[in-house]
Amino acid sequence: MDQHDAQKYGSKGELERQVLEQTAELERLKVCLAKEVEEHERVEATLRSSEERFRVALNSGLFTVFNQDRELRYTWISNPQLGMRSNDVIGKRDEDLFPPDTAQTLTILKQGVIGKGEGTHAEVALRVGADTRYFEFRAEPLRDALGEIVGITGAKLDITDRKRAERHRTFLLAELDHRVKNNLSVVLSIAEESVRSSASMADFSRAFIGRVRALAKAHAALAASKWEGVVLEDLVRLTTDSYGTSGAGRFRTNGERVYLSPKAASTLCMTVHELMTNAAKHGAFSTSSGSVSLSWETLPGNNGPPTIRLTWEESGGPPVAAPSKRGLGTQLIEDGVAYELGGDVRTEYRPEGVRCTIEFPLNDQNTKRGIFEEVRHPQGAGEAP
Amino acid sequence: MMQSKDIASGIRKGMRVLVVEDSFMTARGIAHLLQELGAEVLGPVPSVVKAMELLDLGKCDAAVLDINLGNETVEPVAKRLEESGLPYFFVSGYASPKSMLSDARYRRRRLLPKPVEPIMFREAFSAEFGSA
Repeated sequence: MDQHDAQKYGSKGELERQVLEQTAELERLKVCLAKEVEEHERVEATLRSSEERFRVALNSGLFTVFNQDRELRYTWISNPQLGMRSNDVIGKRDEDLFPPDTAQTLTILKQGVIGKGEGTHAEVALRVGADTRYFEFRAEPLRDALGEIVGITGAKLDITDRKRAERHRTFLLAELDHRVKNNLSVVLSIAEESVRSSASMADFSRAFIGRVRALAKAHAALAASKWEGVVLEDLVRLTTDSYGTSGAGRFRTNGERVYLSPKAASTLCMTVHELMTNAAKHGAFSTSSGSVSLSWETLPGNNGPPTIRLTWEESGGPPVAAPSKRGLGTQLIEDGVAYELGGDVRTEYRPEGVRCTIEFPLNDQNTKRGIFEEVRHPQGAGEAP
Repeated sequence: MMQSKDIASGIRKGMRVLVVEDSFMTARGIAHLLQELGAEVLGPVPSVVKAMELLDLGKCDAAVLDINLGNETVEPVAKRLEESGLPYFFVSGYASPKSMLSDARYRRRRLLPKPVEPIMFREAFSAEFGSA
């Protein structure tokens, strides 16, 4: 072998070596590439499932996610809500989309994020047309690869239903508080008046305890109706059951199905209680043979709401005569209904037994009406800001 | 109407005080407190319409008003009293009843919680009506 050959072969050996090396490198690269492709596919699949997860999460319809540039023009938005479509929002600013006050609220929050370079969150009320909806709003600065703030990423969640529920709960608690205090106020007045009108301690305790029990029954009937109004017949049964006179047909009721408002139910419960007490003391229930019939009917109103007329009629008891003075019981029977229900009560002391006719209008105040409907406040003072 | 001044409380005897309160028994309780203080009670009445009828008679010197009258608030009565320059104060079972009143004039008025405490009632009476 000459030198040239040696060089040639040496060089041939070198070439082979290099080819082998290159081939090995290529093999290695191929494996790497395959790995990278695999990795890429895996990442893509992960991204896809991640995006799918977020898509499902956002599809509740209550979530909006968006990007805006430094000038606060929308560059991307998902589920804009409030009757807007993505295409109508892209390129616009809040002042192009919302009334001035609403747009200003949002712009101030978002400018703060860009200015300070830190995220923010707030509850906001957004008005579009006549509709106001409440949102939990979040925004974070959006940075490019160099860390420069190029805009914001924001999200808002519609919490209108929750806000309404919160408001309703606050209202219910205030209403409950009011009812309790009013009832205590009534109990105190009953106590004071029962003291003044009672001749003895025994007299007082009988009268007072009976009246408070009647209030408790009205409350029980109202609670059972979920405070939405009481069926008159149920109220009468509840009020009269404990007298032990419902058996043997001594106490009969007859009348159509009428719903009473909580206030009318409380008033009427007290009236029926006083009638029962008087009957037990002096009237039909003071003997073993007397009986009472309580019937009611509704009469068409004169260009107004219908009227209900209840007739309490005692029979079979001892002969009765008008009392020499009007006691608290009689005042509760006659004046309570007139005062609280705008009604009219007539008591006839007939020899064969007392007849009491109670009439009151079945207007909004006296018929079924959820107590938890808000009182009309001037200027809508019950509205949340 | 003969009126004499009670030196101790500064309260005029025979002062005519309108009571607007929708609960029959509570209204009677307030009326009784007023009578004990030597006032003459106008009413009590349960509604704005009835209160206005009494005010139309022009014989009212002062008033005690429940804020929530069931399906209305007492505000129109308060407005009328403000316009006539007559003293009055509120009673209410609501924790923040003044949110029901639209005008700051009414919200500045004295408010007694229910159930009404007789001592507080007498104090309010003499502070608000004593120099009337």
